[in-house]
Amino acid sequence: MEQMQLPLLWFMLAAYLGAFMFYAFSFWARNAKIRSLAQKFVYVGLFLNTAVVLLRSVLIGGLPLNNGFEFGLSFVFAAAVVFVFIERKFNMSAVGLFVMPVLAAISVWLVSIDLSVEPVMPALRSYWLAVHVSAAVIAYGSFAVSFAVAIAYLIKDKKEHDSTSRVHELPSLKVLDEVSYKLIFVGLPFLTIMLVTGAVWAEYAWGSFWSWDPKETWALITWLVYALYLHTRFMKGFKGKRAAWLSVLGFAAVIFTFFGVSYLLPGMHSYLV
Amino acid sequence: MLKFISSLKLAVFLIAAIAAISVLATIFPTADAFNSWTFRLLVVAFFINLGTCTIKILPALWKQLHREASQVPVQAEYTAYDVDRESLIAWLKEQRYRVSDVCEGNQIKILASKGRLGLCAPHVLHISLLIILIGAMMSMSNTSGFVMGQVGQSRPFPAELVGHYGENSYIEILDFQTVYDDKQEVDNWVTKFNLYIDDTLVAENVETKVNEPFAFNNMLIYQNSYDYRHLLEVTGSTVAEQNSAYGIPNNLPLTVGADTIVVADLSGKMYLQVSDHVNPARGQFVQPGDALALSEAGAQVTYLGTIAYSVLEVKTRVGTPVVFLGFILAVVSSMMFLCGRYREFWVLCNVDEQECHVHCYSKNAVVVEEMEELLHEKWNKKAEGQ
Ligand code: HEM
Repeated sequence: MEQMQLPLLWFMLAAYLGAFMFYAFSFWARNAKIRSLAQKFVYVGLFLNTAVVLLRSVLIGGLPLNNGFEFGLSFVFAAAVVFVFIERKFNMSAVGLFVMPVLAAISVWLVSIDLSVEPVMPALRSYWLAVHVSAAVIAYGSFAVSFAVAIAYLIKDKKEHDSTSRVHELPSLKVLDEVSYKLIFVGLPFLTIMLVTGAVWAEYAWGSFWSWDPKETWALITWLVYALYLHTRFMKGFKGKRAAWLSVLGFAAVIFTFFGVSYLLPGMHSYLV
Repeated sequence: MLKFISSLKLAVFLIAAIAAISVLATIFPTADAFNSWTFRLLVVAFFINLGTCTIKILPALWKQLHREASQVPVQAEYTAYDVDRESLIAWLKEQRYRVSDVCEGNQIKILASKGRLGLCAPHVLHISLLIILIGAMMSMSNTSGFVMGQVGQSRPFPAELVGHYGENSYIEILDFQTVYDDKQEVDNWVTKFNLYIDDTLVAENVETKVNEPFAFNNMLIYQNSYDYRHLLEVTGSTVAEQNSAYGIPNNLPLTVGADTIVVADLSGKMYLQVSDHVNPARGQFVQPGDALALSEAGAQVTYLGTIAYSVLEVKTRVGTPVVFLGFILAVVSSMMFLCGRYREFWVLCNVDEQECHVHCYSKNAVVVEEMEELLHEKWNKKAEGQ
C-alpha cells in the first residue's frame, strides 16, 4: 500500500495544476464556464488529497502529523478545504488563480521527498504533538489562503483604474480585504494553540517550555506578524494595501518556519523535515 | 504620557521590534540576542504597554457587558421595519440573542446582544500573555543539571542543584528499561528510582519516562537520554593482555587481534558479530553466557550482558505553573475568538405602533453588513416617507 502514495500524489498534483491552468485560462478569456471547470479540478484534487491523507493514516495507524511529509500533506489538505469553503461562502472562485499555485508548489515538494513510513522517536509519541500539529495545519491552511487573497488584492489594486483590465473578474477590493482579514482572525487562535501546546509538549519532553530554538522562534515571529496585522487594522490607513503586504509577510514567515528553518538553520525541530 | 504608554501605536512598534530582533537572533545565533538588555527592555516595555492598556480597557468592557435596554441611544441611525415588537423579539431570541426591553413613557427600547465570549476574547488573551510573561520572568531563576547512573547505583544531585537541595540529596536508580511497542520499535525509556533529599527518602520506587517527567514539589526529573555498555569477555587467546573483560558502546567496533567485534541492540535483542575482514562475518543473537569463536584457534568471546546507564535531568520549576495557567487562559481565549464577534441590535418602537426602528451595532463594519442583510431577508423595510 505504501507504493500507492506516490501515484496518488502525482494525480493530486496534476489536478491542482490543472485547476490552476483552467483558472488562468478563464481569467484570460473572461469565461465563467471555464472557471467552473477549474473548480471541478479543485474538487478532484481535494478528493485525491483526502485519499492520500486516509491512506497515510492507515499506513501509520494514526493521524498523518508526525514528520515533514505528513505535515505538508495535511497542510495542503487544510488549505484546499479552506479555499473551497471561502469560494462557496463568498463566491470568490476567481481567487483560485492565486491559491492553486500555493497548493501545487507544496505538492511538488511532497512528490519529491521520502514517503516511506519510519518509526516515530519516543519524544514524538505524545498526544500534545497531535494537538500541536493539527492546530498548526489549520492555522497555516488559513494563512495560505489569506496570502493568496492578499496577492489578488495587490494585483487588483494595481490595475483597478484600468477599466479594460481583467482584474475586474476578481471580487471587489473590499471583499478581498475583508476575507483576507477574516482568515487571519480565524487562523491566529489556532496559531496560539499551536504555540501553547508546543510549549507544553516541550516542557514534558525536553524539560523546557521555551528554549529559543530557531523553529520555535520563527513560529513566534509568525505569530507576532499576524498580531501586528490585527492591531494595525485598528489604526487609520492600514486596511487594504498595507494589510495585504502584512499578510504576504506573515505567510513568508510561515514558509520560512516550515522550510527555511529546517533547511537553512540548525535546531531541535530539524527532524520534522 | 499614560496615553502613550498604553497606546496601540506603541504596541505596534514593540511587537514589530521584538519580531525584528528575533529574526536577527536566528540569523546570528552567536550574538545571544535573547539575553541582551535591548531585548529584555523591549519585553518589559511590552509588558507595561499591554498591562496599562488592559487596565484601561477593562472598565469599558465591564460597562459593555452590563449594558441595559435603557441605555439604547435615541440619537442614532435607525431603519424602520414592518414588524411588530413581539415577532421581532421572538425572532431575535431564535437567533440566540439575549434580549432585554424597557418602557419609557410612550417608547419601548429593546437591546439584543450576542457574542459576549468574542467580546472578551482579546482581553482574556492579553491577560494570558501578561501571566505567561510573569511566569517566564519567574522561571529565569531556574537551574538544572544531569544525573547519570546504572541500575543499583546511588548518584548525588548535580552541582547546580546542591544550593537548593543540600549536599546529601541523591537518586538511587532501581531499574532502567527500554519499552518497545508491538512493532518492536522503541516506545519509551523508563527509569525507576528512589529520591532522597537531605538523606530522607521522599519518593519511593517512582518512575520517570520520556514525555512523563516525575514531579516533586518545585522539581522535575526527566528521562533525558540513556547510554549502555555491552560487557564482553575474551578468553583462550595466546596474547595474555587480550584475555580481558570489555565494556563497549552499542554498535561500535572492538578490535581484538585480527578480529573486529560488534554488539548491536536490535529491538532489544543483542546481536554479536565477529569479523576477521577475510571471511564473511559471523554473528548470532546472544544471551548472557553465549560465546562465539574468534579467528585465533581456541580463543573465544563471551557475551556477559548489557548494562544500561540512565541519564536523568533534574530541574527546578519555579514559575512554570504560572506559565501553564497563562497557557490555559490563552487556549480558552482562542476558543472564545471562534465563538463569533460581539454585536447588538438596538430597537425603538412606540407602544401603539406596528413597526420597529432598528440599528445594527458592531465594531466591525462587515458584521454590521451581515446583520443588516439578515434583517432584510427576514423583514420588510418600511418604504421611506411612510
Ligand atoms: C503579541 C501580542 C498580542 C496578541 C497576540 C494580541 C491579540 C489580539 C487580538 C487577536 C485582538 C483582536 C483583534 C480583532 O478584533 O481584530 C486584539 C485586540 C486588541 N489588542 Fe492585542 N494582542 C497583543 C498585544 C497587544 C498589546 C501589547 C496591546 C497594547 C496596547 C494590545 C491592545 C489591543 C487592543 C486595544 C485591542 C482591541 C480590543 C477591542 O476589540 O476592544 N494588544 N489583540
